[in-house]
Amino acid sequence: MTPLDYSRKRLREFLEEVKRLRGMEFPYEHSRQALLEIEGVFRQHLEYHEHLDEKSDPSTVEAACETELTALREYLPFLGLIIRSTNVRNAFEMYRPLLRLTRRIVGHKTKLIISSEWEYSPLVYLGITFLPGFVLVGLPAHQSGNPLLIPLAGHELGHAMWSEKILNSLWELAYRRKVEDHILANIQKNHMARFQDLFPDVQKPQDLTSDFFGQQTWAPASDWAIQQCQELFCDFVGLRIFGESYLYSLAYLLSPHQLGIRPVFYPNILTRINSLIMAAARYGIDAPVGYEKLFKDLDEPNPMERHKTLLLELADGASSNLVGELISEADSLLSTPDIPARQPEAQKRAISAKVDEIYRDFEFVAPAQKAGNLANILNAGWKAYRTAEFWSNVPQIKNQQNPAEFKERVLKELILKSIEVLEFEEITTE
Amino acid sequence: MRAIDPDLPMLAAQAAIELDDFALGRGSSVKALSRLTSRLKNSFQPQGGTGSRRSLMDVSTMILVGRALDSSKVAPPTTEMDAKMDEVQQIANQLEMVGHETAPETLVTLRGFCTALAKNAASYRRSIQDLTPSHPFRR
Repeated sequence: MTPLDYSRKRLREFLEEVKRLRGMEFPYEHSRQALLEIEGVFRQHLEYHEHLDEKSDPSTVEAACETELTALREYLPFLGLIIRSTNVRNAFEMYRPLLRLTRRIVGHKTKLIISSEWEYSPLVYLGITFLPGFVLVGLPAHQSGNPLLIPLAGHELGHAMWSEKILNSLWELAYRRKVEDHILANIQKNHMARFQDLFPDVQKPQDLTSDFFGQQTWAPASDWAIQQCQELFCDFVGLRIFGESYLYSLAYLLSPHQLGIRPVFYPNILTRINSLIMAAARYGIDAPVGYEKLFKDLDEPNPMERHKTLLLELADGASSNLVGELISEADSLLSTPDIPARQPEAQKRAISAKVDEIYRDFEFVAPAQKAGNLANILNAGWKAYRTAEFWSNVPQIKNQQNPAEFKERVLKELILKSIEVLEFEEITTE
Repeated sequence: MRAIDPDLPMLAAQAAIELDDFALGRGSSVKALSRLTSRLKNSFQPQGGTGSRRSLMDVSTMILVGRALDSSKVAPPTTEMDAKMDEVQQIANQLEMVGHETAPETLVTLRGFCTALAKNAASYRRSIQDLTPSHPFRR
């Protein structure tokens, strides 16, 4: 057997598996459609493989086998996610409202798959070239039925917006140029001697831009800064859509911090939090007092890693420089009537009054009616969750063995029921 | 074109297969070649009145493509960015013209570029993934 034989065999077996999975029952059609798309792509790749034979150029055969193997590694996890989207631990009540929201902010033909994943942090797969228009969101399995954490999906949808609205527009080029210009200016103004010490190939400042090897020295800082900008943008999207509830759910998931060295693709935690507080002020959202005290920074890389430390410093500087623009960009992209802004003051008071109205419905253990949007329900839910005396006089709750736990369970059910009512109202008004 | 485009390795490999078919005298499809050419061509702003031309590629993509040019020996090695950009444009033009009349040595060079691009793009994606913290007990 040659590598080409193995490669073909692997492709055929993968396609067989996809075919088997297509026979399953799915709660919504997008899961099955994703399987069809994946099948089409790998079938086409197999057809390309059929062109290869003993006369073919060995390097071409090798590249074809290598890319097939890489693609299988990348796409197999999607099959798993699609299967787990059928799991009953998912709160299927969330699906339609989140799909509606996704289509409003990302694109009206977007396809959504939500799954319970065995990863601690929510995640998203998108911009998958072979699954155009699909957004795959994974929520932590032990929380995938918890409606209080729905706002975290806002961050994941932010990635979808970035992919659709920024990467596909001139904004991407503009951000990239600003990042690159900031990094180059920062090196030349503040770090030239240190930089040349670490990268002796850079003999003069012009080498940073005009020399092929010179460019390679700082390229990682540019990649990291752009990724950091994306993460900040996603936080702003989650905040702008879900208001205070985004801040609470983020603290629920992340505070104070997990141990370890910070990933280079994220700003450190306190930078994220302070940027969120700044965005909240701009969006007319009241951040909880002392919110930043709930968090701590992750450790920076070991100073002995001198290259990484300097490049990360450059990346951090470039992404911080764009925070104000990213806050405005998220706000401007989300300025639609379906996602009401909390400004001017009258609008903020109207939203607040609606949240209080839903809160009062919850006090009567009644699902909300005419809630208007998902954010209002979740903000009322968080208000009830955080109010210690909520339902404290309700005999059916206070007489339970563990009233707090019982309250939480009933509240989550009530939020999910309210979301169902909202969806019913949306469907009947369409 | 972006270095992180997930389909870049597969697209470049498929383009190499199409070039290989032409080199063996049995070529017919240029589907992948057209898609790859269009991505390369869209990576440059057209020349303005000043004769200046600016690459729209981000620095990582430029490095990726530059390395593919170097390893396929399309032109004598250079570290000048302007010269590299000329080479990319030249190779995009050649890829666009591929057909039964294309000289065998050109096909071999272009095929070499495409296989190198496929490998480099896959390696770059892998290097990005390796930066993501993995589970402490995962091996």
